[in-house]
Amino acid sequence: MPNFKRNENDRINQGDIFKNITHIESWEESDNELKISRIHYPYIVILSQDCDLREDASVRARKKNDKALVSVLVAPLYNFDQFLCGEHLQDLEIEARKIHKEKKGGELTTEFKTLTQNEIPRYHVIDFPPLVKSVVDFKHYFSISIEYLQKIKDENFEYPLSFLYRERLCQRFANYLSRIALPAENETSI
Amino acid sequence: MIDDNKQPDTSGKPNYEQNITVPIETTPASEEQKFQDKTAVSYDAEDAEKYQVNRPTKDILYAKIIRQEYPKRLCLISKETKTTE
Repeated sequence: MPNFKRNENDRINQGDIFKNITHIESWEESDNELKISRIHYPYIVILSQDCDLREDASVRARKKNDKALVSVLVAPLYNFDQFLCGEHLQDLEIEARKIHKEKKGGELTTEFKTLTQNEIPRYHVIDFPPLVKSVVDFKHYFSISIEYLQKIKDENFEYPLSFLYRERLCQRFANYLSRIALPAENETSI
Repeated sequence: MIDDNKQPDTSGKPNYEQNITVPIETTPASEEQKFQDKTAVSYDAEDAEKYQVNRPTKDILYAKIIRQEYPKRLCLISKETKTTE
């Protein structure tokens, strides 16, 4: 497993992959009742800057500090095959677009090749067994409590991404977030 | 004003519990491995449907607030799991 190298420290690291993560999507309070909507993600990957996570771990024990993180940025991993079929969000009642793998002659489609070569800005394919081949969807990033992650770490921590691959992943995420959307041609105004 | 010593009136209310801790249902490890082995080679829609290892799910918890001041205390009323037909 050259791409999964255990971290020696006991903290949350950038590139760590966790399983069975619960995200509080929303909550409402009315008439003394709470309605809490939760999404359960089978796998997520940590995207927050590693030096921030390291700093957080070193100061968290102190009660007053301004370097502790409020939350951690993560993105979900979806099963690659379900993703291709557009079925990965089926249980959330969301339809997704299919990506065709092969043309009629058996040749791989351009879109499939672009996806697997990590050239579509929104997606990042991770194919490191024993983890099932997965796709990170940068558009679906969300934040999660670092205290929650620490609490479940022993049971839910799955794999760490090794240095080079996590840098690649996080650089692509940063590029995705910092992209500049230009207006459509017919909307251009000076 | 909330009276801390006052016990919540649970008469006639269904299925009250002491907190909102709800176990997250997970696929047994053996099933998960079976699915991963399968998808590593080829995709089988029926197996994917059966094991649903890598697909997010959603649920909604309904809880009663029985103490308003920090730290709030909640009682779980019900859990509604979203499923697809």
